[in-house]
Amino acid sequence: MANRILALLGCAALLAGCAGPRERIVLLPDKDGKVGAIEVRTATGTAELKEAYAVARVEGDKLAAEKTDAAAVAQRYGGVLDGLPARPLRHTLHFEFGSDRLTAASRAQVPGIQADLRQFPAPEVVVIGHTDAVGDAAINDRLSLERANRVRDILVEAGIPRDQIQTAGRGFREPLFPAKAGTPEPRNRRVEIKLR
Amino acid sequence: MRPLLHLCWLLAVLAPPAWAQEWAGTVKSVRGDVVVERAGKPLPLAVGDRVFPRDKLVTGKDSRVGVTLRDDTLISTGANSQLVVAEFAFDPATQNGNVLLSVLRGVSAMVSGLVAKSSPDAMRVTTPTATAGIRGTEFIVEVEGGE
Repeated sequence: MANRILALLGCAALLAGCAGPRERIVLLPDKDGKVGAIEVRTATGTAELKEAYAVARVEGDKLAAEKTDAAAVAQRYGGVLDGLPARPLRHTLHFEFGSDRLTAASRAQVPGIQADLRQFPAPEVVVIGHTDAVGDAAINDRLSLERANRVRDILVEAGIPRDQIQTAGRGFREPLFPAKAGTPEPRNRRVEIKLR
Repeated sequence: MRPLLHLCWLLAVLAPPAWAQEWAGTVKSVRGDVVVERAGKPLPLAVGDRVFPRDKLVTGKDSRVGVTLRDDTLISTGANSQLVVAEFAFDPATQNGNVLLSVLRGVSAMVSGLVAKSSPDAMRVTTPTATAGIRGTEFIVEVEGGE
């Protein structure tokens, strides 16, 4: 009798196994406490994750919305969360008006950039140039890339290996200070350095 | 004939492979037994290696791998896991692009990057039975008993 029950349990376990993988998608709060959103779709349904620790659980063809908490996440997923690469760090550099020379304050930031970079394994520097909205998009794309390349050369002179540096020009797509097209806004002419 | 043959060889050696332009990310940490399956072949993976679209990351027991994609997406793949970087495109000027990651088995933690910010369905993560549209930002995907 006991054997028969065991055999039945075994079959049930097998059947559950055959029902396919069990999957969980867990939305976490960001480092700064904000929470994003995830829409989960399967063949049979949809779940919207909007709150911290919301879980979409898929078992067989069933999709269920659940909730977990920080302690359970730390216990089950602490290791994999520890393995996340470090978040990028950012610096902003400015040029002297109408020139390709960095301001004194920006030049003084270079040693700090080098120090920050040493925290990263396989370090990468992304140098992103920005302009104000004087002139057309193509001119500003080119100008912003030239600024980024100029800063790359400064960083290379300071000792950062060239092959660790990528450059990009964002043109006037990302002003720090909103300004009408055609109006000079020197504070938007800048180069952002992202370390990761 | 011979000079032509030499020229062909030279071009084959000098011409960068197509994927050289479209690398997806950089390996930032490796613990234990981690390989990448690229074009069907398993290759060992080390810190500093680049990851390309269609690469499958495979980890063994007590192993894990950390990768930062070009749009700042962060990925940590835990033990006994498989993750495919199925699609990756990113334009650093416009910051538009497309990220599709497939968790085939095991667990991966992720922090979305610039592509997820660019438009609602630009970043997706799939499992064997589900598709997740990522609006942001930090999350975990686990597949027990998968592939």
